[in-house]
Amino acid sequence: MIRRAIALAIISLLSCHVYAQEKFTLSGKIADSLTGEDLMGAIVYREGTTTGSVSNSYGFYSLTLPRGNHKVKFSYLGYKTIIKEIALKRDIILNIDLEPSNTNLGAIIVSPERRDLNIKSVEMGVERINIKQLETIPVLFGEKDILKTIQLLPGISAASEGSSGFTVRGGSIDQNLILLDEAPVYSASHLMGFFSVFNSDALKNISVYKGGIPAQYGGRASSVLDITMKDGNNQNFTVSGGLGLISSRLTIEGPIIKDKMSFIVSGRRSYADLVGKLSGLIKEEMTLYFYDLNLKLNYRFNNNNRFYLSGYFGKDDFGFGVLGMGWGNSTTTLRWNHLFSKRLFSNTTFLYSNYNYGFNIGSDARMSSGIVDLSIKQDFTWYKNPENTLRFGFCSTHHTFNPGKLLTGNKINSEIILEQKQGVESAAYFSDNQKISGNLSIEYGLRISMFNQLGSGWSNVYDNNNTKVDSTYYNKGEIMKTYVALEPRVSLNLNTSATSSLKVSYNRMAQYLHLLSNSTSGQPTDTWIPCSSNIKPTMASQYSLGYFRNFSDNKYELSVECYYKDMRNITDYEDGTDIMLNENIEANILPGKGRSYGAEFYVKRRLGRFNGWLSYTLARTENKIEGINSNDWYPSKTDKAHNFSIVASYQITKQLSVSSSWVYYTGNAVTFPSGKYEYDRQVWAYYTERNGYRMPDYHRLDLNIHMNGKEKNRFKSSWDFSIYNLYNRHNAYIINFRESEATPGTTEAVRLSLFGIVPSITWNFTF
Amino acid sequence: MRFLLIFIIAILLTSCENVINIDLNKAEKIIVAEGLIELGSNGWIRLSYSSDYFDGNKPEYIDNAIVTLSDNNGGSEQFKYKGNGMYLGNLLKGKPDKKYSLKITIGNKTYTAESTLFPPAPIISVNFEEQLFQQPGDLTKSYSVILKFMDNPFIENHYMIQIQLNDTLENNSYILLKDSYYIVNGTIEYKPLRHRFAQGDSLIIGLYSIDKETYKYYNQLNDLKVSGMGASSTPYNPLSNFGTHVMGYFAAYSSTFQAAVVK
Repeated sequence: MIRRAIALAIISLLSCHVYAQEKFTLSGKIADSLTGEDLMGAIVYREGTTTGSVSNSYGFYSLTLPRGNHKVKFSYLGYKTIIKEIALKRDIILNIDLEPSNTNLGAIIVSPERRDLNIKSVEMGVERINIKQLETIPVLFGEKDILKTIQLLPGISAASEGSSGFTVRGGSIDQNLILLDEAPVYSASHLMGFFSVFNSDALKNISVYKGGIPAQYGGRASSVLDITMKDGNNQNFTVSGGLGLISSRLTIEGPIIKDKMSFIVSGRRSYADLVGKLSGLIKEEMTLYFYDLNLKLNYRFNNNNRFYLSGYFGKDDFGFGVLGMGWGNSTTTLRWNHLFSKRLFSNTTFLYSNYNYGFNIGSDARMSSGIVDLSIKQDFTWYKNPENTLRFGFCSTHHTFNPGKLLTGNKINSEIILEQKQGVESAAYFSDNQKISGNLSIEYGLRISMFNQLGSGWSNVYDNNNTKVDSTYYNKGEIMKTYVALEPRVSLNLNTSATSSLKVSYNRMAQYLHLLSNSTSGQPTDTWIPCSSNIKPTMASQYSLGYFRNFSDNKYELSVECYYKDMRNITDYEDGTDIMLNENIEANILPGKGRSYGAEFYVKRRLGRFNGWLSYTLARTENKIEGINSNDWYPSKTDKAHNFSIVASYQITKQLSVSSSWVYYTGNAVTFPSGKYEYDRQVWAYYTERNGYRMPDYHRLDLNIHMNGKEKNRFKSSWDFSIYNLYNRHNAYIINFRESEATPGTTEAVRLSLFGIVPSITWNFTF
Repeated sequence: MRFLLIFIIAILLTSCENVINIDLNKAEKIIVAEGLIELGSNGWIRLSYSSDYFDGNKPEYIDNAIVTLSDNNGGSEQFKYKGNGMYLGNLLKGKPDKKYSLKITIGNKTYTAESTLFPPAPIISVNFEEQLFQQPGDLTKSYSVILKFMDNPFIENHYMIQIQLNDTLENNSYILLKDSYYIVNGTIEYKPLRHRFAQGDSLIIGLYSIDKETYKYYNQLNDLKVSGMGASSTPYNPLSNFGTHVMGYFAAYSSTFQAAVVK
């Protein structure tokens, strides 16, 4: 199959030479004139026509037009549009710097593209977010957090209160592929999930794919969150930063060689421990902090070659006397952009990603687990003609899994080392974004993915009682198990009028890694393991249908999307399974199936002093797993019938803006007792159905006031005053059932609420 | 982990707890059995029915059951009903390395559970060590206990430890351990770090030799104790050795005790 795909690609390549007569290509990069940052998603089109192109994530565009004189428009929301008169007699390279416009944009703008791109583009189930424009959305403790902001979008919801863990269209948190400059980030949260690892100061673009996932992405069943780091200002040195309640941030960026080479270094460190120590809440011998460091260097060698080196290093450290716990991610990405021709763009990526968790009790005991990835990726984009943009490529990743090891000092005489596991995940893909007619466009593609579990290691066979009945040893590099999956992806867009369109899409996703976790929100101890002869890959097929309509000269966008997702080989555990340091965990994993369906309603006002959005999702997610809930369907932990959010922002004056958000959703499905009994002098709960109850409905109002300080020369500053949970609602985080302390012998339900009203203040600066 | 999570939440956040009203389903009542045979003693069992979760009454006891205890050497006896759901034996006494089987007949239904009585593990010493790290709110130094005991290296052993502190039995999680976590050399030294004591505390430490199935059951009870906390799994009913239609357990075990004062 792979061979056939490559052959197909080559044949299409050859045919282009014949076709290209009397047509020439206009290409180049589009960047911000002040910072030199590449602009992704900028629109290039021939005035008066629908012929156009969109810049890719490296700012590169390519537009092939017939010989002659053309007026070409370059535009990007929030920037001044440039119109160029071009006499096209040969291929032309034209690099465009767009100047940010000073018009009052308001602060929150999602989708910074052409104003009616949501109608014209074949994409559906996608949200793109420009980091710069998210500054004023109120968040917990004033920590700007992209993972919490996306939870306000339809189809995406919080895994639990205050958590940066999110679920997309009923998928679990481990079914989200989170990429930072193409490197997978395996654990995206700090401080037990309350803060994400993404320091928004270092980020440029964010795209979330909920459905209609393009063929170049794969490896997770539910969604893709593609995050791009800033390249660094290649015009001027700038320093920016901020002081908040939880952490402070500092970013330095600037040119090394003007216009050619620039860097960015961005750091963030929390100081909850320092504040806690000063206020006496935390004892001296305690450490409790996290930090993030983002680094990026880019070098434009010439118009045809460009290099990027980016890295992320983050860590959480928790210590109390001899007790210590730490976890962190590190990723490194090296990329080479190369233009084979004006129409064939290539990107080669080498990447490394590492997630590590460690726990120690002095020198007595040490525990650790983690995952290490090494990957190579090759992606091509071929701007064949204005009607067809093809993408094809391949990637291969070597995973090393460390499911866990416990080493102890000689005092305790105990050690458990779970065998390391290895696997290679590979894929080849191609897709074509084709304009069939003025009203109809299609993007179709195929991804072929393969997973090889590699030795060295034991492959075990278990009987129905989970007893190991047979084991085979494989040497280093030997293939223990292979899975192959075909993942077709199709999206179709029919423009029903100038301001409306109908879209349908289908995508199939394979996931070869499983997260061992028994929490909803994700914990640092959660461990990744590969597929094996006992665990099959999770397969998800999603069908979606959407109607998109713009009103009042594209001021308002409205969309309705419906989806149905069918999931195979999702996993849960047998009751009482120890998921940490369990060498026979594969025997305790129960496979099953899941289904999720729903409708998402979205109204957005993007322009003007008053802007924001309203989103409502009606959905249902159920699982059916052998051995759970008498083998019947039951609501999944991620099931939420109603999920509603309003985000509104008002620019009062140039200096002052107010924004607010309100969320409401159905409580999570939970298992509560339906009876009780006494055993060993204690009262125990008796359970009947799995997830048969609901937590109380959740709602919360947040407010943020953003104030710009006075500008002095280059120095700019701003203040954010925010209030989380303005009306101090006691939302239930956990409901516990226990014997009453006041009247022993009786039982009671106790609600634990995490956050009451939480005010915070943040100061930001740049010079 | 769970302890750390709750700890962090407690110190950092504005959390609060309230008793609330919740409507719960009324499950059909189910048989609850708590049976035991200890080394050198007669067996007993208490039988009752489960009740609604917020029911404030005493359990409904079962007084019409026929209970029979037998061992793998052909010994057998029928227990006598003593009131309050309690059935006692007076013939068979717990002996090491014997497998016991307890049969309950209620109406036309019969439930049987088995458990093996493992020999006691002698305690060698009980010592105390100053805790290297203090917990928030600790005013005085705290100590952890180090229990050293004999372990038969030729068989797989499972243990449960209970600590009676100043005459009250601690109702915390069950302390469970298995010797397969240790390098086999005939002794095990165990330090339950989570249990902290102050100078002058008087303790009675009980070391129970239990079989593998009992270990599993009590491990499941431990899961139930922490369920509902953020990082825990979905709660479930621990699997009784009487089968899925009964809650509770029949255990055979032996125990050794040692008293000590923290100093």
